[in-house]
Amino acid sequence: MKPFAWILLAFLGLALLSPLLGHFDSQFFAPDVALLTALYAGSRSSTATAVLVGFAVGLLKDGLSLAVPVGLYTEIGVLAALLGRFLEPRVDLRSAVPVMATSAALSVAATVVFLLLEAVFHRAFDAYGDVLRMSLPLALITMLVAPPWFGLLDRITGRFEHPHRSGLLGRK
Amino acid sequence: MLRDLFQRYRQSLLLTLVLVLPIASMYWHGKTRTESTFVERGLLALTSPFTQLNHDAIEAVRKSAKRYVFLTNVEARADVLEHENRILLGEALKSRAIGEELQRVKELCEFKAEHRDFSTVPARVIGRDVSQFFQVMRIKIDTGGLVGIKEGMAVITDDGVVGRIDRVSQGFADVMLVTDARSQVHATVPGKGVIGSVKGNGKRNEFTAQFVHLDKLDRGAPLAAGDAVLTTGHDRVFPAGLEIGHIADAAPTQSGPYQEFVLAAAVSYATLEEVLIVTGYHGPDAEAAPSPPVETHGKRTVDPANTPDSPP
Repeated sequence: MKPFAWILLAFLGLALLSPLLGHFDSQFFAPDVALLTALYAGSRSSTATAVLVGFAVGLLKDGLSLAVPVGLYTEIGVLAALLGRFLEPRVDLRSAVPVMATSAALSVAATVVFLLLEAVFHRAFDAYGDVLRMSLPLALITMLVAPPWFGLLDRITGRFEHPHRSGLLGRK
Repeated sequence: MLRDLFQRYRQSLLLTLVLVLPIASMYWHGKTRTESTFVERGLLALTSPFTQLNHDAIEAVRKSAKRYVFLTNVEARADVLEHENRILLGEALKSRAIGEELQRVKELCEFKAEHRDFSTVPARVIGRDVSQFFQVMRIKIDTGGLVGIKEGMAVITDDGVVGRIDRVSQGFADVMLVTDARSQVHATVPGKGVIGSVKGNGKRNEFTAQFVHLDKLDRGAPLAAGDAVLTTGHDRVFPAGLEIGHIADAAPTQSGPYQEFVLAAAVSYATLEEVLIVTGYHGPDAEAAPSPPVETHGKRTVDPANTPDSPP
């Protein structure tokens, strides 16, 4: 049930953040919660679960942004989950600073992958300059949101792992 | 055997699948096409309700916030709107008044066009009841002094008789209404074979008429309530055929050879805004028409030559 809860939370975050920020003309600065969720899944679960969560949240992001070929964010989600699995024994992804650093680096890497995949599969795409210009602010905002997002996912995970020890908003 | 193989390579198969499937999808969806694929339609069907829900929720929150939370400057804005509202209300009332005035002027113009046998000048009513004891109203004459307005001239509207000029001074004139106790107008009721005079009794919008039958043998139909009382023109002040009022009470009071009736005025003096002053007469009947009134030079009496035979 945990992976479904993560996917649901990521979907709600994706569906809510962009329109909400859109009201302030800041939709381009929405943190990449799909990427963070895939990274979290990679750091907290098995490879199979992680890649399936990464696949699902990436697919949902594809569904919410149909301007890109379907599969682009799915691929990025899977790669992020695999990176999480790779970093899990090497980096402490339960502390804020490593989470922030990893998230920022992952965001920049995701932008590079995005551009590569667009170049290969989406010939009509020509906004490379805009994406590159946005990559650093996006990495910054994703980095700032990463610790609270991981904390939220941890709380959800805790509710499933220790239901008798959890209150409405977390552990008692 | 196949099951063991699947178990052994399950993770590798899954990894290959989740990595290759998106690439295949991108390859497929990256091509230019005119219709959505079933994957796109499925994703749209899956995400659209949530998107709509989010949008509605955000809109509701935004509207609520705008309505109930961000109330800054609302009071100042309300003051500005109230001020604008007062200005617009004033302009609307002004426009309505102008429209009504235009309608009245139009009716006066039509009246003038229908009565080319006498010439008139327009005047605007600027005040009423300046005297406590007489039915007088004050008018402002808009002729710029080019036309000689004289005391005793008839003042009329398209509805009927108003009165006569009582005093004239510097572009203004006081009008003695036909309801004034000093007023007397020669009158008749068409088709009833009567002639007489209408006298004011000092009451607002009410006066009395005294009639005598011209032919005592042929009295014709009796006077009835609602019968219109018109000017005869014999008083040489008012043109013939103008309505003075109508009989309000058909039960007469006998006064010698005269029958006295209560009349209701044809003109509503309370709401009168524009009037016409009869300044001269034209046409074939000009000789027989009323002559210019005699100036009274401040005297408050009516010229006896301009009045009908008074009852005893």
